[in-house]
Amino acid sequence: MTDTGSTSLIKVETTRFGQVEVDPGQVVTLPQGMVGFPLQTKYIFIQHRDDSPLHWLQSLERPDLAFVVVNPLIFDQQYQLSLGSAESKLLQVEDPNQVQVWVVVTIPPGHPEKMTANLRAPVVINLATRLGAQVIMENSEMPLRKPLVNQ
Amino acid sequence: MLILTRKIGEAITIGDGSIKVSVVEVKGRQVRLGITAPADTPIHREEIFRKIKESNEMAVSASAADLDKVTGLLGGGSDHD
Repeated sequence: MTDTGSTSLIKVETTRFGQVEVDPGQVVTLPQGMVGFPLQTKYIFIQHRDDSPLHWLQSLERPDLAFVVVNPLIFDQQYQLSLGSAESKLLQVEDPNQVQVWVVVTIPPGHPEKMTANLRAPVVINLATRLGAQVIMENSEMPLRKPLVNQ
Repeated sequence: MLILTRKIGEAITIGDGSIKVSVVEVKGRQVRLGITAPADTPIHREEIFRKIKESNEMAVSASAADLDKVTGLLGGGSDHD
């Protein structure tokens, strides 16, 4: 194996996945962190399995800190993001097509069928700058706990 | 907690002065506040912020094993239109 050293991978300790190697170009920075977790600002996305729509948003600074996230369009094709001017500025959005949207999934322990997604506060990533934020949609009726499995 | 008395039209500044909260109107039990802050500062009602924080705190307890069960539930060919 040749190692040019041009894109050296960084090693990250995680509680769930052990040590993972990350291309620094894949790191996203959330300057304000996730809501309630302001101190952790560096994350990577790890797909749960090749055939799964679920991803982990794994903190690079806290091995045990990871959020399950999913593309909301998978279960709600009407899902609309309303990005306030503060968020647009924070993420330095110039091209809306460069914006990627995720929602945080909560899985009650032992009751995966009762999992919900938080449509009210999506995680928005600007792929151009790799800046992100969990955006609270203030004037929205989007549910905080949308059931993902039809009962 | 710092408690200040302000009249309608008066304000407080926070930090370096770039954040200003002024009292716009008082009507019975409701107070309308005007907030000026740097353009990249999100501002939220406290109760919604708290709910999202609680939701996030619950979300981070998920284990990889939970996710395996969940993936089965999501990928169950439940396509409908």
